[in-house]
Amino acid sequence: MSQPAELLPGTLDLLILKSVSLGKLHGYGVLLRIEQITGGALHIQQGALYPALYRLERQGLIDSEWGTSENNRRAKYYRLTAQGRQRLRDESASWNRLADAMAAALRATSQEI
Amino acid sequence: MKTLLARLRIAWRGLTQPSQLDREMDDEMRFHIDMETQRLMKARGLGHAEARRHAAIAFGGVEKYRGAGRDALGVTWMRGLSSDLKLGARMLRKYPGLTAVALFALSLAIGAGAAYLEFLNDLMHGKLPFPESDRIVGIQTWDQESGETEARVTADFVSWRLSLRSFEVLGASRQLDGNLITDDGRAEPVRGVQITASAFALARVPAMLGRTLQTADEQPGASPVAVIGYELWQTRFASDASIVGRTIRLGRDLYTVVGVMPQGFGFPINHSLWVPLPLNEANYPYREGPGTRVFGKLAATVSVRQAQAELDAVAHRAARDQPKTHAHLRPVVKPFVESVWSAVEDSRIQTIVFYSANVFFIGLLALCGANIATLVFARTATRETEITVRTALGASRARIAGQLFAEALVLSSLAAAIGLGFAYYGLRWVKNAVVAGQKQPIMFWWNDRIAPETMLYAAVLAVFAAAIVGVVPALKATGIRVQERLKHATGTTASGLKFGGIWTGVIVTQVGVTVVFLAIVGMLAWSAYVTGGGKRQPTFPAEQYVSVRLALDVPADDPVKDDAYRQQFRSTFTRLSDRLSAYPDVAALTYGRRLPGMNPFFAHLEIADIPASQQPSTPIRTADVAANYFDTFDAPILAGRSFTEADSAGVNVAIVDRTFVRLVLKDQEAIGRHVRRAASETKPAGPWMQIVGVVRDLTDETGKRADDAMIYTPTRPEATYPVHLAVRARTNPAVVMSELRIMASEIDPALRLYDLQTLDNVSEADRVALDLFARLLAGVSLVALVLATAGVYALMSFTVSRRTAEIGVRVALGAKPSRILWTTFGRSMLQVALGVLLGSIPAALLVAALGPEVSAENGTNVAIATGVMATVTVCAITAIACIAPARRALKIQPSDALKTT
Repeated sequence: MSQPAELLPGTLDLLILKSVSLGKLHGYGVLLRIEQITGGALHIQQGALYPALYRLERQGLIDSEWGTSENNRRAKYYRLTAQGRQRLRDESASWNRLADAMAAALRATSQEI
Repeated sequence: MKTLLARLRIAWRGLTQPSQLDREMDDEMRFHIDMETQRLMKARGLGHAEARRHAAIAFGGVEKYRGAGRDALGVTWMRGLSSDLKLGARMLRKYPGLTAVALFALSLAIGAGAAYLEFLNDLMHGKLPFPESDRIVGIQTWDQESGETEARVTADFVSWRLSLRSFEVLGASRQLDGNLITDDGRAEPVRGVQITASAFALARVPAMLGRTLQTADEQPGASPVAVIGYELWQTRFASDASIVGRTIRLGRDLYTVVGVMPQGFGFPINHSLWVPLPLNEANYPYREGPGTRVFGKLAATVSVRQAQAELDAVAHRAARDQPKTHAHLRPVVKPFVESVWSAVEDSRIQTIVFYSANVFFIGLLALCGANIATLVFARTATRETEITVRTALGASRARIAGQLFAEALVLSSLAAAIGLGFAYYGLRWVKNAVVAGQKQPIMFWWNDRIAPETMLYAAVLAVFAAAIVGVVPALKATGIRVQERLKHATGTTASGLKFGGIWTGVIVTQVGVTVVFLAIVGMLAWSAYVTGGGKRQPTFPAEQYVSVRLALDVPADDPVKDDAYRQQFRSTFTRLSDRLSAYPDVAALTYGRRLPGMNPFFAHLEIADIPASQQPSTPIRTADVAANYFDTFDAPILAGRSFTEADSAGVNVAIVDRTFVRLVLKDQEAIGRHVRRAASETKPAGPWMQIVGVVRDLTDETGKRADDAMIYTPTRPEATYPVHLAVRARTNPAVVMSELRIMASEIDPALRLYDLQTLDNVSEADRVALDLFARLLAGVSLVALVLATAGVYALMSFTVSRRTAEIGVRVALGAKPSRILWTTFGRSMLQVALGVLLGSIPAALLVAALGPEVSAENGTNVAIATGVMATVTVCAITAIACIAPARRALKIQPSDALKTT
């Protein structure tokens, strides 16, 4: 297994939005979901997840409520709001454009210039 | 919007439940570490302790991320504010004296500001309690040549109604004063209005019983109908549920009641009876006919400006087509309430001026705030060690200032809440005073509620006050270098906070202002004492006289010039006076334009054969009276003769009272002298009148001034307007009053009786305003006095606690008590003395100017007495404020000095 890549600044928010868009999750669940959908390719400082969650909640992009976890413990669950869904769409599109542009740039060979 | 709501919700929780927010973060992070621990135990087969250690390392520190979490939620500063506010509340309890003084002063200042704004918003820019009321406007027509409004606009209204497109609804109304006569024979004037049915479409308020007026009611030949108001229905018809369909009498006319409006409906102003406005029958020429009020509701998408543009175009056409009448007329659209009171064409400037007056209240608040700041600074000084230690521990200057600001905010918020209470009751009092003064119901849109805008304004004032009270002392207190203060806090040096220049300035100003206010209040008190509160004692038994103002339906602006009115009034009055005279309990009756004790008419007089320098400089009170006026009021003729019936026919004679002879003629011979109304800018001089008699004053002569002098001229009842009737009862004035009502309605249903009361109840309307002013001034003076006392106390108290060590050493060295007091308080007393001195200069000028106003003979003595009284009071009060600190200073023992150093 290769060394996990460091997270680019600003990408954690997008990853959280993506994770909770697939269904409501508690904080630890968000971490597991990110690991799952990225195939463990990204390294995340676990505690850093929480300030990011609170920031998104304050921006009204996600919503939270207390519920019961799979092992019967009290846990705080996060869910995407309509505003968050919109943001996720916009950010995804913009990220894809950037990624395509970067990929195209990095593929360039001397013949193409 | 949703984002804002989410933020507000979090901020609110951060402020009110900071520890619960922390707990929730803890729970959440602990859950995370527990789950990770379990995963590690399962996945890697680690023991619990080892797995937990790994999980904690992977997480990276709960404390650190909780802090970051608070930052992310934006509640970090909220937590600080929350604890500062709690501390502030504790401080209020800990220093009850300071709290009481500050609450008293700040709540009065904030309350006055809030009340003023509420008054402006409610009364002058009030919104009618109708749907879409912001579209309801009034149209004033201005004659731009004379600068006055033109109310005779019926013809214009008729053409506007057909042509204007900017208005969804256009309506008009005309005042209709008449006697409402009920089946029991009771005839009482009612404030009615002839109004177009469209007014009800504009108001969109359904009738409580029956229906409102309809367009069909306005058609020629339609049967006369009326809609009555809730209060009228209650008071005059005993809330009769079957009132609809009944016939009522209004003056000489009969109307069928078709509806009762709900409580609080008084459109257009304070009316309680509505009948159709007969526009089709009245084809008045332009600029003729009775005064008419025009109002409307703007169409949904039209602004006032657009409506004005359309009216301007119409006015332009009218000026071209009818130059004779319309060359200078300009209809102006204004918000409805503004159109009711505004007396200038462009009311924006007036509005700006009225709202700018708020500056006065803000100034008052700033003044109070600065004074409280003095006290807070003195208190802050006692907490110097706490502040120094916190600074040393790393609290920034802003953080400490923030803490003191939050403490002040608790104080000022409480003051704002109390102030709003003052505003609520104060405005109700003003409202009642206005009702009592104008003897009419209040404008129907004036409500008792305090509007949210006013509460917001009070909150802004509270923040402003907190900024002055908290931040200024904080910046002063944290200004000195920490090292220096640490030295002081640990007792190694005597330097520390000082009551420096600013505070000395504040106290000196405070004492000075108090002297000035006391001088003004002193003069007012003198004036009230001398003039008996503005009401002079009558020289006749006023409680035996019934007074009433008589009115017939007035056909034109100036009824006494209308022959038909004069003839009708003459005949009605003669029948009434004949029947009254025949009534056994009536001893005498007379009439006049004004009766003794009523607000008089004033006129500038010119006296023949007197050099210009000796002509009366003040206006003189005038009254047109009946021939038997003086007899009826038991006033003997002292020289010359009384009026005769022949005089009333228009002979140019006059009678003056003794005060006139004494103060206007300077005791020269009055009989035979000629006087006339002096020429003014608008009117030429009146005809010369010969003084034929001198009468004893009808009110107590003590302390009268030249402008209390009276000159009487003879008149007939139909030749003066308004006219008051005075009836002297032999035994029971109440019986005469009820008899008078019955007689009046029997003689002429159109004869209206206003202000029926005994003469001892007649009060001059000015006194309501004067009373309000006096109370306001007394309130402000009390605030000034309390603040001055508290300020001096704080200064002295501060001085003693600062100089405990020094005093202790002095005592140890055997200093005498007087010496100690002088060295301790000398400087402070000098400051007070400076304040008294500075204040007494404007105070002296003021009392010197007002002295002769109050008492012509003893003006100088009054001025000196008032000046001395104000100065002595301030000195005495400050001396009292010194007692406690002085006793404390004298009790200091040498051992206390050892403790403090």
